[in-house]
Amino acid sequence: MAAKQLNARAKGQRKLYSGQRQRDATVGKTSLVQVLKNDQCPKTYTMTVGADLVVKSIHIPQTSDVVELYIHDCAGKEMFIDQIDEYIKQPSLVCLVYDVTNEVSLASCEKWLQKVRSQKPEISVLVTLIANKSDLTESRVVSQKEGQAFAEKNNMKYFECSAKDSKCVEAAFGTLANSFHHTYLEKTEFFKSLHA
Amino acid sequence: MFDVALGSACSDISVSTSFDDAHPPENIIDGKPDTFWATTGLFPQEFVLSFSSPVAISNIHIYTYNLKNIMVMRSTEHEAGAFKMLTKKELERTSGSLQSQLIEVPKATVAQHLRFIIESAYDHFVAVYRVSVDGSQIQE
Repeated sequence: MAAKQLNARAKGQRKLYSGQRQRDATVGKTSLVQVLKNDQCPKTYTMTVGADLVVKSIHIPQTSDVVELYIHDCAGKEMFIDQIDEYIKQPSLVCLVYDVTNEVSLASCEKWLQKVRSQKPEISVLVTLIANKSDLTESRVVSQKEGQAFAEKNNMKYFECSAKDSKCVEAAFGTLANSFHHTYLEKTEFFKSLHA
Repeated sequence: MFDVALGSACSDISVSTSFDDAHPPENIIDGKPDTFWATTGLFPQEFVLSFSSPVAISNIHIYTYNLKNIMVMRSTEHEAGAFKMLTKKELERTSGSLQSQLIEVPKATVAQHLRFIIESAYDHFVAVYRVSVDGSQIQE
């Protein structure tokens, strides 16, 4: 197969609802993205303002193709919602992140999902759900079953991750890249059936 | 008057923002109705159609799929640059058949380069099958 480089825009985000902002903004989106970028979990916390951009190239197995992910790490804080709207206009892929030690963060994912899907309902966007901080077993309040059920109900792929475990983060983003590549092949195959 | 955008008639695609060997930008001007240039993700995407010498254009016709907003610019410089806005179009979505859009230009429009910017689309990927330009080369 010919070598190609596909570009996808992905987002890790979750929005908070009234009152819980403080807790909500710390589900670990930036850590996940940094793990993907550097294979290393950041030791200190810096709140994301607006959205950070991380570019990651992912090789697609059994091909010579690469999917370049432009990952907009969006702020979870509600005050940045207007800035996020700019990035949310036409995402290729979406990655919602919640914190298994924080029940509210899962509920917020539902609101984010509605926002993403209502923007351009005619374009189907693959969404994955990441249950983050799975290493914190003692303070965990959202079970795997609960997360999986929510993912299934909303047609999302579910991953359980800890930013301290880079394998799972790579698997989650690898799945996104693979599905984007698959969509491209499918669409271009369809384009071949049309002609001017 | 003839299709000055046909690759055989002294034109080529000098810039494109996506490149897949299987669907290269040259397909836009190869004169074949069933080959296309595919964008490979994200927008905007663009390509520049360059002529070997200035051309007087009467109209442009594009055949595409999934394209929503397109902006066309022109340059009269020998080296592509100093692009000026020619027109903007919003295309209707089609299903199972190509979008065929005539782009009328003001009388006596001269260009050596035409820049097509795909600003948005109805899906993640756009296919551009053909761009034909009715015009004639200006004798210098």
